[in-house]
Amino acid sequence: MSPVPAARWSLTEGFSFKWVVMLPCVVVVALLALVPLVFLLWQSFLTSGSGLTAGTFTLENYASAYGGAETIRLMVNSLVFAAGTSLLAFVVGGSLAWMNERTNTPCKMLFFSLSIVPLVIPGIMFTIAWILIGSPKIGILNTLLQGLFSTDRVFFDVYSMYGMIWVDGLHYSPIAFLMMTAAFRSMDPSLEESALMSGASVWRIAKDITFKLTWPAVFATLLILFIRAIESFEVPALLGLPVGLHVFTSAIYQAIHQYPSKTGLASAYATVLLLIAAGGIYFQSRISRNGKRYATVTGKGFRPRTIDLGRWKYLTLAVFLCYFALVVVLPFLVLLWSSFQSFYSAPSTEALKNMSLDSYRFILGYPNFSRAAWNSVMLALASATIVMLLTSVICWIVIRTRTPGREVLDQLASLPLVIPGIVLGLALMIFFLNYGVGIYGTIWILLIAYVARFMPYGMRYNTTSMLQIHKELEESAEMTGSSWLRTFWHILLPLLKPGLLAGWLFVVIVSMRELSSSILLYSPGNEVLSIVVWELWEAGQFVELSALGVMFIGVLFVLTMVAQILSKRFGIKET
Amino acid sequence: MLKVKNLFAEYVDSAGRSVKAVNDVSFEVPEGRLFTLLGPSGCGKTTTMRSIAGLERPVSGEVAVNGTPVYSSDHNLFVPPNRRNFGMVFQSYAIWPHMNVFDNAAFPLRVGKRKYSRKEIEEKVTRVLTVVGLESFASRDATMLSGGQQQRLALARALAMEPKLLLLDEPLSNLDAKLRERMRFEIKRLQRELGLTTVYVTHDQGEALALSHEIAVMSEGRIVQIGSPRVIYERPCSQFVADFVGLTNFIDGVVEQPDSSDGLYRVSSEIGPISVFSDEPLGRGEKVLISIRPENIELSETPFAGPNAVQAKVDLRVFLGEYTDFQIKIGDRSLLARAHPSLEIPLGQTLYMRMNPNKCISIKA
Amino acid sequence: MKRKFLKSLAATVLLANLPLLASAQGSRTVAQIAAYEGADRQTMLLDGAKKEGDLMVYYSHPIVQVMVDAFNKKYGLKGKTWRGGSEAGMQRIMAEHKAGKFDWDVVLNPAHDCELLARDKLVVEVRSPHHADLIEKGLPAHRQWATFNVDVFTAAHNTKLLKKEDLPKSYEDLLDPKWKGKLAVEANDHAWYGALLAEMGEERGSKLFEKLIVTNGLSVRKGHSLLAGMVAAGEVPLALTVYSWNAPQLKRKGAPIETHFIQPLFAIMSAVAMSNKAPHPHAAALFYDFVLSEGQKIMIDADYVVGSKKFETHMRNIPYKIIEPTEFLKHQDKWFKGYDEAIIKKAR
Repeated sequence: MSPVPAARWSLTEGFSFKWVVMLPCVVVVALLALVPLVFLLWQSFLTSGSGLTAGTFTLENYASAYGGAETIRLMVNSLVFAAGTSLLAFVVGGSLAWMNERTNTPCKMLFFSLSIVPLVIPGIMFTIAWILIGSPKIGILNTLLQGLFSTDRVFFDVYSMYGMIWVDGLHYSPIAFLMMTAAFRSMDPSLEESALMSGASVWRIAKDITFKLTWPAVFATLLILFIRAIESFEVPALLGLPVGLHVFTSAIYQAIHQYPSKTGLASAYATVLLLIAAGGIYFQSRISRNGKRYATVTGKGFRPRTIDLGRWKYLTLAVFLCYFALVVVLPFLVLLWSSFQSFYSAPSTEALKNMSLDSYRFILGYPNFSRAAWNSVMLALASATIVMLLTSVICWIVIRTRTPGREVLDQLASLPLVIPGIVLGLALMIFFLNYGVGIYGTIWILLIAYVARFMPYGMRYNTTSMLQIHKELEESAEMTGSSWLRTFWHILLPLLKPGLLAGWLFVVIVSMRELSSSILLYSPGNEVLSIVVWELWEAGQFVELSALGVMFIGVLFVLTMVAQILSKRFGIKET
Repeated sequence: MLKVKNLFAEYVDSAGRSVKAVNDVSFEVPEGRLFTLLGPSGCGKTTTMRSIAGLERPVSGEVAVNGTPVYSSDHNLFVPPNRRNFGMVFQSYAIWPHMNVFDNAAFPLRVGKRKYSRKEIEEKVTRVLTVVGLESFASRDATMLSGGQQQRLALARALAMEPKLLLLDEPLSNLDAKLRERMRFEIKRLQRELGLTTVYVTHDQGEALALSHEIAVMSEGRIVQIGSPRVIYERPCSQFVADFVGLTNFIDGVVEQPDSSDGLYRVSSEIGPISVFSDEPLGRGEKVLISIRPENIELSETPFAGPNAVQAKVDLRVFLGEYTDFQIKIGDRSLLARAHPSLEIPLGQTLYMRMNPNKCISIKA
Repeated sequence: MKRKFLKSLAATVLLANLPLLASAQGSRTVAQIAAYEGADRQTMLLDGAKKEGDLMVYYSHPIVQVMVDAFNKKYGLKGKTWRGGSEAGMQRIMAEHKAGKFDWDVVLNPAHDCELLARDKLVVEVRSPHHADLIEKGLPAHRQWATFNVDVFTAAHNTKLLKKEDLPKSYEDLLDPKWKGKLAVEANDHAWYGALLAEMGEERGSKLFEKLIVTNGLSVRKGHSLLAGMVAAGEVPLALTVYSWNAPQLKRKGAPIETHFIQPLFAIMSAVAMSNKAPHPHAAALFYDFVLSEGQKIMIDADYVVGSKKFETHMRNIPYKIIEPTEFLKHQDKWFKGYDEAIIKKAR
């Protein structure tokens, strides 16, 4: 297999149909990425102004953001938290993905669906469930163990850095699971089989071959996890704040959630995040330049085969069950328990007597609930589809062509990842107030926000998938005279299916949960479920929130099972 | 040295049906020999090899090396593939792109049960790379190798672990024709020099004939014929084997009577009365299928004397450099004959052909 | 004689034309509608509201939805709402204003936010008949907002974990080591802290809290409802800053929580204000009046402390000091910084 030069882009190529599709995509992506970015940078140099007086140019925001010793503490906390969370999420999610995809661990379909459930649970709910489990005073885990060992010792304090890492890391392990699953699904099994024949143990193969070959996916996953963790709000607010563990998001939130908002200051804080993301994405594009190294789907017609673990498969089964107990079953049970109460309280015989279905009735009768649910679902489906299609085109430009400036395009498409949701919401709100034609105040502004917000995730999923597909697969289609659009639609997209589907599912789920942008952009008639969640939260109605959480999880669980069945029918078959 | 006994293997196809990929396959390979499984795609040869390797789990049967079984359904024994110490070269080579040449070849030494020192590893790897001619590429990125070089690296890697048995799964099918021919010699030379017991899988009968000590022709999960290359080629036992290995002409005939020498019979055939050879005794009136290879049909512009001489007409002529293919017509039948390129008979002209009766093989119809 | 006749003629003509004048609403400005003091204010507003489109109310306080629903039901109108945090509402109003969009009619937000709106000339002076019922500090001189709700900062404790005898009577009592790890405040109560320190004396107050944090620690939670919920669950045995209505609302559901008063007590007000570019001025003013009359009853029933003097609240015998919006706005930066340094950053 000698290296084949990539398709050359030249001015003399002339106009071909593919630009009719690519150009609008590029324009849309550029707008979605640049508007918030420009706004962010612009705001960071302005004073907040008050009411109607405009802000004036100042460097004060940066001075106060990066000046004090306070900032060092913020930075250290944020980095430690983000690093710990992303590592934990990756180790847990990646290992589970490996076990599910590359070995003959039983009950694959069920586990795949269950692994996504933690993502479904809104951050607030998951954190609260873990407070009920791990609080030093009333946590179920602690009281149980204390009773068991007759001691006063606190076994697990969720109000600590390791508690925060545990909760957020577990909560985001499904991201790692989804991304690594997509990578593993597209791997050529003979690479592992030859290692097997060479005498390597299963563990050695996983370590030296499987994970090393999926390095682009590994890096992309870690990057997303890290950035997501830096941007995390619910966990630091609920678990860190009570004990003085502050991170960047707390500072940003504080700056914004006062009036007049210090958006300048918040934007100044956010530029650090911007720099980190840009650095990470640039690094990844350097790796992907040597894309041939990671071409693991070579189209030689294979069946992704699993490693026979023999008796060890019972151990992996146990690991899965343990994971689900901790991440899904336990929080779910806690929520379920809470939903039957009139008010929060730890399980006790007394509380058992007061159970009722009142909170469910409340939710179902909540004004705008059905409309909010409908809006959420429609927005989720629409934004997921748009995001995945849009980013697959962009990915193609970035990876398969030599178009000048494509690296910038990659950066642009991935940038919204790092702009805090609330700043994105603010930016879009102001932009469309001044320039939009009838978009402000409708559901379309929410759609635009979601697409902008989740575009980077689509990029990551599509990038890792596309890197693994050897370009000969497309080139052979081209040689048969297929137009670019045909090749794209009939060859590339189906091959991208594992990544596309995983990404689509992911965007559906996280857009149902999106809050920080929605809160500024929604208007009456355009509420979404996350707003309902927020309203209940603000009103301290956690039992009703639990009821909603229980229903949410149920629906999403069914959704992922359905998606699994569909992907089996239309996607790459598994043996 | 390798003994495969009554091997059965299955897989479930997309419609959920169970397909017998390997249907009661048995053979033995003596020490130091190269044994080839030859057949069209889907005949079960690869599944048989993967079953020997341990990458597939057969339904029943036994696989033993030097008397020690590595798989036995009777004794519920299954040694995992990474414990069998079989070297395997995959069709796609499966070279790891993230390692360089040296690390690829050294991998088995680093992960095996025996622990080698750095010096030992370096010695062994350098040796094995020299054997395949890649010693100067040791530090090169594995992705920077050409097809032939990757194949040799895959071979080196399999050899590095000093395996008991070498398994080669269509190792040459991804190479271009010239390279393929060269590598054929390389592999043969290597195998003979090292004296390594080898099982080879291919669909290319030329490779099988060139490399093997013994060939097993497979079709639909079963072994149809086992024999040395010459036996397979010159004495095919069935139409399938005759047709699959090399080119041949098939002529229908009815036996009349035994002929003068041992094993020869007079047969009235589509092209007239001829003498044919049969391993087994034939009775009068028995229907037979006669296989005669193109290179065994002598052609001449002047009539021949002797047995099996027939007159024919030139229908088609293809000049191929090394030889000329003639399609000759005898009555209604067309036969393919191969002659020295110096023979230039114009189309439509009469010519004469002759066949050695011992080369006209009778096959059970 | 003639004069008298002419006068009465003029009067008659005027009286006859009054309905005409009244019906020429199109000519009335928002300000005029808001400031209308005639006896028929109610009917005038209602008639006008019926002809206008749907009212739009921006709010942050949850009870407002209940009020809007009651309002809609009573008058057969279809008032719409937008709910966000108080700062989100302000941002929305400002952004819309800058873009020349005027969607909102009435806003219900913390009083200091409404004061800012007044300063930026975004709201209009209202002359409601119910102003007379308001508490003393409930109506500023410019009458561009009016208090409908008073949030009093109180403590609350878990009745299962703490008995009444154990409870502290003053802030000094909190220094007792028995309170270690049992106390919490809310994350945004810088106003309470600032006012408390001003009352106690800056030096004394900050030293007290410094010592308190070092010996017993002070945990910080986000959201008064959450904080109250934590008390009910037993996670926080004694919270220092919940609102006076948090505990009673939870008690109704059977939670083991009770309000506790540690003097001095402070309160902030929430106010209602009307946009000076209200697209539906009649409905707006009508709703404004509703909030200050029947709306107050709705709130009382839900255990809130209201701006109207007409009702007996659960705080009636307990003295507390209202932090006025002008004070709030004046000191807010200082208070914010102080709270941040002393409490938030040192939480544990």
